Amino acid sequence: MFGDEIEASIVLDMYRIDVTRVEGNILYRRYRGETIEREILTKDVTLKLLPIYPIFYPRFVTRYILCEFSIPIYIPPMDSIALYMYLPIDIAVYGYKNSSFTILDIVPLHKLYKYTLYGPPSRYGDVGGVIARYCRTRVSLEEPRDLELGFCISHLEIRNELEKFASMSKLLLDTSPLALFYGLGSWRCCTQHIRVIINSPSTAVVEYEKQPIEPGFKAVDEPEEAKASLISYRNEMVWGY
Amino acid sequence: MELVDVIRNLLLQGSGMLYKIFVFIAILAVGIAISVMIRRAFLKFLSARVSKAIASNLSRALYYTLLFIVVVVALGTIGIDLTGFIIAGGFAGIVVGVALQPVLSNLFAGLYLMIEKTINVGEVVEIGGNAGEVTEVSPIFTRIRTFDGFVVSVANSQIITGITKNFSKAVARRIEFKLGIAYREDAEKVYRILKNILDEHPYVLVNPPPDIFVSNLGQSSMDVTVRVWTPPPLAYEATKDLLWRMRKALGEAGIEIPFTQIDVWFRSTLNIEQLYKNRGGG
Repeated sequence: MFGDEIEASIVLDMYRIDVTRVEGNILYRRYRGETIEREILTKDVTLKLLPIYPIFYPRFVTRYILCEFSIPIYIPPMDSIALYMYLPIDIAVYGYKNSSFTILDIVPLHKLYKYTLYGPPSRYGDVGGVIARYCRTRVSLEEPRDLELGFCISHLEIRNELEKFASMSKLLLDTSPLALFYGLGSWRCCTQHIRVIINSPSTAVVEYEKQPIEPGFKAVDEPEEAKASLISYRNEMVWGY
Repeated sequence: MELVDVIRNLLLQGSGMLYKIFVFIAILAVGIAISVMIRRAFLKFLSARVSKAIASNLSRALYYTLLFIVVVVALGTIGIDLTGFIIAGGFAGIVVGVALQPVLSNLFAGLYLMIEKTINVGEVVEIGGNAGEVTEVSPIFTRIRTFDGFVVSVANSQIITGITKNFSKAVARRIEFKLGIAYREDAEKVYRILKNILDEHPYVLVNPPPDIFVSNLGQSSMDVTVRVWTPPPLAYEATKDLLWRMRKALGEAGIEIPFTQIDVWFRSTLNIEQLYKNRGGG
């Protein structure tokens, strides 16, 4: 469960994690079947499983996540829609020693990992914009009761400030203002409330609140890669939504 | 004047000279120390605001200017007048300027590079056919560590007058593969196999989508071109991995990748037996 200390051996989805302790030294091994996928030697740390943004596996390349909705969302003029989104996550094995921590292993929970370019449409083969982790995400009008391992819940409010219908099929999330929260002793996790304001036919603003959508959930310690200097809790989508 | 008076005068003049030399050394020592401190402080101040190359070179320029001033002041205390040097320096400047023209053009090109940030330390570039990572942008040269480990120094003027490819400034990189397929193979099956590999590969971008098409009907094979986009840091790994996977998948599906071959057609039937006899066979 999230937040619990890994003492010896646990099974996580298709993986088995073995932790061997010898006089304070720790040998960490993650198996997939009989194959060792990750092996670490460390000392005197507390190992914890926590949810993490899906940006670290197979390599950290970007801090952006582009969520493509499984169904398009049409927002009436000057109106808003509230919905829940299943944001894909991975599981990180954190090593804690006093007040410092590091991520020792990322346990990938999804079959397919892809990147995409979020940028201006081009007719000539040239590219611009940003590279983002690509996730195809399901949406729901009701809050999910049972959450599958590998997903966290996010609550979206999409406001259309235009005087015509707006169609939204994708959402760009910046993991810097985005936060993950977990329920201690459970596999449930969530983000904060996210507000998307559609302010032109091609641009939108994504705003992040600070509190988790599920009360009492604890914030995950942000790794350095996702901890950029924050001016405001928002990011902009300037190349369509 | 007696001999004693002469010696006394010499001693008096000598002590005055010793005093001047002492002042000269003191000014020089204190001046150099202050220059070093100012250089360090300036470097620290600039490093937080501009690129490392600009900070290093500007602080170096300030340091040498301060050193020049210190030396001029110190020489003044021992009575060396530098007015003559300055007049002579004017003429010398013209001579030196002409002689150092290539160096100066590189110097100004270096300053231009630093201000414009055309290339920065750590970026992957290709200049004059040398591709590698920029390790230093100095006022005269830019140093590149090539992918095979050599350090290449390129004159800065060559960079601003020539063509520079900066791979690090690319948002995404396009990779292209050409595969020759035998004419008897099913092109649509090949397309499906290749598309499946690209769809499952994590380094191939979803958007812009990969492109697979028959690009040429050659003498020995039908050429299929595959174009994919990848994040720039993963381009090298993607190139290696994709070609391997495509070759493996096509091989497993029994798709023939032909080598260059020529079919020779004889106008009349070739009599193998007759040829054998003509060569003196039995």
